[in-house]
Amino acid sequence: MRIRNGWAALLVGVPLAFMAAFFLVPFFVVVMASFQTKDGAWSLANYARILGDSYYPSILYVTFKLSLIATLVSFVIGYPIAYYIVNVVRSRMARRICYILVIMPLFTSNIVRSFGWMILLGRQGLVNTTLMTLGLTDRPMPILFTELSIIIGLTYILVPFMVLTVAGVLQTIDKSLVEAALDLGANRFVTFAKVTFPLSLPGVVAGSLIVFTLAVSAYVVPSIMSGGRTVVMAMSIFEQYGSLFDFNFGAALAVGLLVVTLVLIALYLFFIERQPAGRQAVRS
Amino acid sequence: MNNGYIRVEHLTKRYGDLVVLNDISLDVAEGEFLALLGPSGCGKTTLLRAIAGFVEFSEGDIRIDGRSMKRLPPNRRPVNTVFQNYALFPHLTVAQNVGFGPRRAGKVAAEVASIVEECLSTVGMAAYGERFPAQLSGGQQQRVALARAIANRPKVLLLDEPLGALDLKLRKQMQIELKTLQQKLGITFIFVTHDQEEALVMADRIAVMDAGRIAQIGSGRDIYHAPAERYVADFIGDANLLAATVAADGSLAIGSLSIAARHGAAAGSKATYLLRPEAIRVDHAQDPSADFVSLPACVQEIVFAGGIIRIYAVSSDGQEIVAQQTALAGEAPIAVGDEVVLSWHRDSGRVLTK
Ligand SMILES: Nc1ncnc2c1ncn2[C@@H]1O[C@H](COP(=O)(O)OP(=O)(O)OP(=O)(O)O)[C@@H](O)[C@H]1O
Ligand SMILES: [Mg+2]
Repeated sequence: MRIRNGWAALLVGVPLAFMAAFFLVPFFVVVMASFQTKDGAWSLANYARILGDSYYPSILYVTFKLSLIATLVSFVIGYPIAYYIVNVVRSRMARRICYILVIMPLFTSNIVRSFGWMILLGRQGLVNTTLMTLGLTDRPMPILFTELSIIIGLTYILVPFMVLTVAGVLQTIDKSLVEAALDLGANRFVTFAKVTFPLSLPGVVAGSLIVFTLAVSAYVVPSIMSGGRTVVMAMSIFEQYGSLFDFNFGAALAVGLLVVTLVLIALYLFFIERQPAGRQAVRS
Repeated sequence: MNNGYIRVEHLTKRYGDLVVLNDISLDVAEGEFLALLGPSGCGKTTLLRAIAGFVEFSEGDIRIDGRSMKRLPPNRRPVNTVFQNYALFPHLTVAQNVGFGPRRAGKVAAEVASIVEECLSTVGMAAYGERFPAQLSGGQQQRVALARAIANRPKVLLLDEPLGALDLKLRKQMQIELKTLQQKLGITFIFVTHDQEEALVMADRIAVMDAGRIAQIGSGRDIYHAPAERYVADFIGDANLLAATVAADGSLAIGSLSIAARHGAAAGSKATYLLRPEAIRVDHAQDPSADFVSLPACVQEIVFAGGIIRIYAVSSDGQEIVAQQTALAGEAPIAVGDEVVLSWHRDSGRVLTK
């Protein structure tokens, strides 16, 4: 069936207009604001202030460090789950149930979920009482309100994104390629390392990009799970906009975060592109 | 041949209630070229995959060189497979694809490189080592798949309709090449096809399969000229299959004809009389020879098919019979509507009781 030109224009135009109105316009407003002082004069003062002392660079560093760790942990946890669902679970019904279980964490509200983690990870929480009952530690371990608790909270909501993206790609891998590898004398482990994993790289790349960007921009989880003791960029930006009403400096922080994120993603893709197996991953 | 190199013993495979392989027994000699021939869904692929180790079987055993394959995983069996869709690794170059097996066998880089070069030149693809599979035509991919499968020097090569995706001309060329290669390397080939001509051209022996069982196994000539049952006769080549009844004196009654023929059937039982179209002569006049059976008929249709012509005729007692002749220019022409005499040597017909 061919779509007539008028319809095609409408189908493409509506989302484009939506993007322009609610994404591009605000984006340019923010970028412009970041280059202005409070009085509306053009200036680089906001950026000079970010780089002026080590406070904001260190927040930026913490933000990316936590996001990177959360991404790595999501991969380590998510990949095996995706592999299990696609290649081990046989029945279609069981597979569907697995997918529902995987996205279950996303069903509850961010805030309720984070308070749930507080109950689990607190000094008198389930984790610490269990550890103490087992005699693994004699004093409660500080878990809550540390970087560790932020990573736990982030990973918990990000794993589903990794699982779904990786599973989507694993599903498309032709089973006869695995059989061919076995047939040529590779054992299960080598078959995974030489065939399945390289072919699933597009999923890993896409999944890690999604997870990383979500982690960088996360606000609710870090602000609740850190108890205010660790600050990430999203919290700083919100503070500027929401409490200090310095829209220009907030804008500069937001643009700075965006630029650094884009640079890191570009470096990542560049690195992947240079690997022989990764070249295909990026192209496809 | 009771000391096969590959022995399939009473192999049975079920999927739930569906019996896909039904008590299959089969011996293949070392260096033999065996074709598995049968219609779609008869279990050819399943049998091949059972030998390769991808299908666990319910009952029976497979032995290669005396060794039971039952508990051996695919990567430890002395067989390699050319897959129907080639299954080339898309993320590896042609050379890396071919080198995959030797590498797994622990060969050092220089050795792998020389094996890759040798195998690629065997299939005429030496110049394509650095390409990726997606950059090759179907026929080239097929050659690479073959090179990859022989790189491990397997004792047995399993091929699942490897020529299925090629056009007719390339297919015929590859049939000859594959046969030559098999003789050169001395590898035992088990070759799945549903193209009877392909099986006849290439194989030393053909196993004709029918719904999970082997209906007949033998040389192409055996199967063509001496089919064991009606199913095989019908499946291989064109055939006139005439319903016959065994008379009290042992002769066959086919319509108004009575033919003395050798068979083991009891008087009164039903049988099928097989007559290949090319065994039938079509003349305007009666042939006087006593060794010939003759049947008056009327020509209904004539089909010109290049080197041969097919003549569709209905006999005076209502049997539809097709005859085939070489179409030599200048021969006394036969036209639609002619009254003719069909005749054939009495030894060229065959009685099938199954
Ligand atoms: N995994 C499976 N589960 C259930 N039934 C199966 C399975 N694999 C094959 N079958 C059935 O087994 C029968 C034989 O299949 P097989 O693939 O061996 O046929 P084939 O002779 O290779 O046919 P074709 O010429 O079409 O390739 C078919 O009826 C098919 O539906
Ligand atoms: Mg098949």
